[in-house]
Amino acid sequence: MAFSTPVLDSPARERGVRTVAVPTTHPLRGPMRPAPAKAARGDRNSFSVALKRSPLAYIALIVMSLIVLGAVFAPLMSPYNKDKIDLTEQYLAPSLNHPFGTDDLGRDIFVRVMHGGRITLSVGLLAMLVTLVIGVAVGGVSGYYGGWVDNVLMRVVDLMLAVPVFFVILFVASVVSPKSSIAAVCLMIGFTQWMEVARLVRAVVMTTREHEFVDAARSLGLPDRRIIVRHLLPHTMAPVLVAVTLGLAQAIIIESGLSFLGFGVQPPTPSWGAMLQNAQSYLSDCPWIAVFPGLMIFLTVGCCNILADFLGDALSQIRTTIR
Amino acid sequence: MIPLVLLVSLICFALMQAAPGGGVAMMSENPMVGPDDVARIRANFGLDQPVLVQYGMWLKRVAIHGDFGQSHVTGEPVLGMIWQRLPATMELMGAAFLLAFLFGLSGGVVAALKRYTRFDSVIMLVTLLGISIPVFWLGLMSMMLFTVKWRLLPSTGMFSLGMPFSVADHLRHLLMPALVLSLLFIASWSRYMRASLSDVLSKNYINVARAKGASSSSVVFRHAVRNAAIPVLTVIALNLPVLFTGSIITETIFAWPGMGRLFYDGLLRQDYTRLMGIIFIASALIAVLNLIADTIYGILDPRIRFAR
Repeated sequence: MAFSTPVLDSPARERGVRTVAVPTTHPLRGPMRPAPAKAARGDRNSFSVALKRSPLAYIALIVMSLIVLGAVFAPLMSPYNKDKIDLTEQYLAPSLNHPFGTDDLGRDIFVRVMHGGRITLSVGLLAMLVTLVIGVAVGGVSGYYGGWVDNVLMRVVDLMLAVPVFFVILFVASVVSPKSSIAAVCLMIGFTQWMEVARLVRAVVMTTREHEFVDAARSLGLPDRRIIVRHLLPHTMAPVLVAVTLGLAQAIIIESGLSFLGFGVQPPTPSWGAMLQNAQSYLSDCPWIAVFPGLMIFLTVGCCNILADFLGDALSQIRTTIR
Repeated sequence: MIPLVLLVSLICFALMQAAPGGGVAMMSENPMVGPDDVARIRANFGLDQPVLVQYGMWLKRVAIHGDFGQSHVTGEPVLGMIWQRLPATMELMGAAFLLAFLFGLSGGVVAALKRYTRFDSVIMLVTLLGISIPVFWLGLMSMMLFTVKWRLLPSTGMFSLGMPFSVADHLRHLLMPALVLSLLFIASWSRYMRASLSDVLSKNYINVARAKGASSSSVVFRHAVRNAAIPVLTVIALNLPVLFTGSIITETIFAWPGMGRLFYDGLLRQDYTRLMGIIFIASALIAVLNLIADTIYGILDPRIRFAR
């Protein structure tokens, strides 16, 4: 994961202030490894140092990578067909042949969970992308122009935040068609989750636009669009990265909730939520039908949340090191 | 807040019009119902009018008579249906809210006071996992453990069938759904409370209070917690729509006869008037609750009162 906090154009650099002393002992966590001089630039080096200091984030990163790998290579690794109904293999408990057991139609749950990961993760990622695009656009415009534009856009944000969004999504899902497509699910989630990102971006853009380098860009005659995209938005990257990680978790929860209620991804397409649709009827006799798909949702969302937490801490540390 | 509720209703109304199907269309699949019958029924419900006229009519009825029209499926008045289910929902949400408020805030306070100890990191990890569990899976798992495996709690409904009403029995039915619904909020509110309180505890006025010799409980509860609660209250108010969301899923799983279940049932039957009514009432409720939260700000934070 290579990323860098944008230093180019940053106010600190303009003033010629590059690096200040790196603290060597944390007041509460004891001595820190002296950070290498390079780390002050906020490159991947300091990131991996931070990662080593947080075992939980390390584990989350590994688990998340395993889940993603399982989803990506699912077709190569499945010994069974994900959709093949085999009535001689119904309701089998977890065993070596079927690590997660089989469901009411005799399909292998492990294989379906891996394939479900493809659907759930891609819905989550796409929905997050929609969130990101809308949120950054609204927040950037709102923060840069201020005035009535800002006022109108922020009222829209307030409005969206006060709506019982899930009711509306369910309503739309039932209206669009009884079988809503995956794209529709992504769009619905994206259109109802962008407000947090918009607020964050707006806040950062509002403070950043007061700096001299923005005046400089303006006096060069750059168009507003270029100033926003090239000079202001890079500064929002750190908080947006955290918000986006949380947004992925949120999108996965919403998608699986929708699919669980029968208004998201439609069977036989496996998604973790859709696999739980009928699980309630089999709770007493074959609990594994309910346990594993949900466990995957829990793990994935948990990893996202842990990583977001870690990113927030690490980025704020790196930022304080730069200043 | 009123424009908000109006706008939500307008959007839903537009969607409803764009929707294929609906109760009357479902009727027309019945061979006993001829095309002229369908036309007559549509005229009776006013469905042959232009969309804006229909919206105006709907709004007028809602505003003047509090009448949300009749369900296109069962023919019952929508308001009556909602009215019947509202107490159950309010009870479930109220119980969950109370649990979340008590445990969430106190957990956050304790974690903030013992910051950077092992106890704190355990709480932080548990709450992090708590915000990661999808409500419906938590419901299924607790049902699997508490009902199927250990036979401790009833799984569905508000009462045991065929038994005389008793408060204890009712509370036993309430416990699991309320806990399941509240876990997310316990976890997230305690995280916010911890962050907010540890921020406040490092402020100068806390040092001043300590320096002048106030007892540590008075410093924490009179000076710190009251100030720390203000941003948390914002989060709580913002979470209210999420509480409604959770109630749809929880009520569906636990067969709790509230508005969420009514809504889900309406979705399955494409009963759009009912859905409209519920969304409208839910947004109005959220608007009112937000207003209450705003008043509480004033009580907690005199600065807001004087600024007005």
